[in-house]
Amino acid sequence: MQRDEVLRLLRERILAFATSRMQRESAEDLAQEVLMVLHDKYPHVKQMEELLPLSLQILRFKMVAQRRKALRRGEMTQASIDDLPLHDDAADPEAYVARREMLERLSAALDRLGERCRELFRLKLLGKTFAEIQSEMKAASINTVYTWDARCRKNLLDEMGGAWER
Amino acid sequence: MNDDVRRLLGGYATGTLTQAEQKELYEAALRDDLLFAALADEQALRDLLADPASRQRLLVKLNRKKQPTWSVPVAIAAMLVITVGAGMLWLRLNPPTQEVAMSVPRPAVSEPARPEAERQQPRQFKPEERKAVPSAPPRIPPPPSAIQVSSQAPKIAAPPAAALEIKQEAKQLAAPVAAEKTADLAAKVHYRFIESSEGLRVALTSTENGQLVVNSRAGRQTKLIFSTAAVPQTEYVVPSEGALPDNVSELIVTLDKTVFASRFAKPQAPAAARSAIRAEADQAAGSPYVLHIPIPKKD
Repeated sequence: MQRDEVLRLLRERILAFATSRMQRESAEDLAQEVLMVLHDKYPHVKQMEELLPLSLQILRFKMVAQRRKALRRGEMTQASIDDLPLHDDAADPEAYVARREMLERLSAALDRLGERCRELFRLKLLGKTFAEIQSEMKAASINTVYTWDARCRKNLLDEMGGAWER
Repeated sequence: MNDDVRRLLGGYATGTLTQAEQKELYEAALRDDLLFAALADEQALRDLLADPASRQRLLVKLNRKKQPTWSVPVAIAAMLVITVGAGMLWLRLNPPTQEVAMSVPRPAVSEPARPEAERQQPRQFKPEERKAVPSAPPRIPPPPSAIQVSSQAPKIAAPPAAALEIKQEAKQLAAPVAAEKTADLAAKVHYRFIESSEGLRVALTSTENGQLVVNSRAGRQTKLIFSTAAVPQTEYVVPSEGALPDNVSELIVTLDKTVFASRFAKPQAPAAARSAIRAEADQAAGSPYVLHIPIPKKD
């Protein structure tokens, strides 16, 4: 698949996804900004296997930035911009706190999982592939591991309230 | 959404997918909005797990074996059983001793307690035992009993014979004093006024010995002006020098006949014996005799 074809498909998917989360005009702007970053900063990335996760990461950062900007502009809270602190290039405290909170929630949710799911998640964190997990857990086939993993992911997501992030 | 592809979602965030699986998942996501949205949602978890510190923390947590839900009650029950068992074992090894206070009849001091078989025959004292017995009374061993007895009986020291003799003498001396208590002091102490250019004085003569004490009263105030160990038939002038003040209304004369004045003269009586005599005499005689002498007013 060629890069332009991948970028076209990506734009469609990003626009559809962003539209489901925000207004249409904002979603279009968001998709355009993601593609501009891919075009300007990552022209050397041509493979679909690299472009898609990269675009997803840029998309997430852009959405977070847009929420922050909307907050700063007072679009949701009507807070004065003069009361907000200036931009700091250091680590974002909000992002740090959000990450820590998510880690806590994930840790607590893992506690409530069954033994098989915990072991499966542990092996995944160790960097094992599904094939290696199959041999480790002595599963009959790799499809069994896929099924276990899909169920465990659903359970974990349910334990976290249906979304990884709040 | 293709379920066969969707089951690969779980491997996206953790980086578990092989290249073939990634290609399959991404190609499907590029054509499926729902799958793409699911992947976009997984990105938050992927970013979190991309942080080595967060990944390590989760691994540490997962490496710890999960405690089964029944383990806590079982652990508590086991601790209770161990505690109760240890307590019962301790009680069995260390039975409680019951302390009972009871009065024990005191055996004769001269006869120390001895076993019954030993009492049947006269005891043969060794020479060193003969020497030790008279100087110190023997310690009385407690009677054999299964119960530990705490005896609070006070130690009784035999009074020395000399002290007993002194006490009896004191009682004999104090008895007539008590009998004479009701007698009029005027019969024993005589007084007369001496008038001179300096003023009024009083001459006192006692027919018996005792401590002669004179207090002057002026209004509500009483003041000691004279005290001596009176010798019978001797005249004492009060005050010794000068005269009685004008405001004195009366003199209070006491003759303390607690026998110490005469009996204490015994040179052989030791200090302890004097104390015993004095205590006995005081107890028997009670308060001393009192004579009130009104002072006539000057015209």
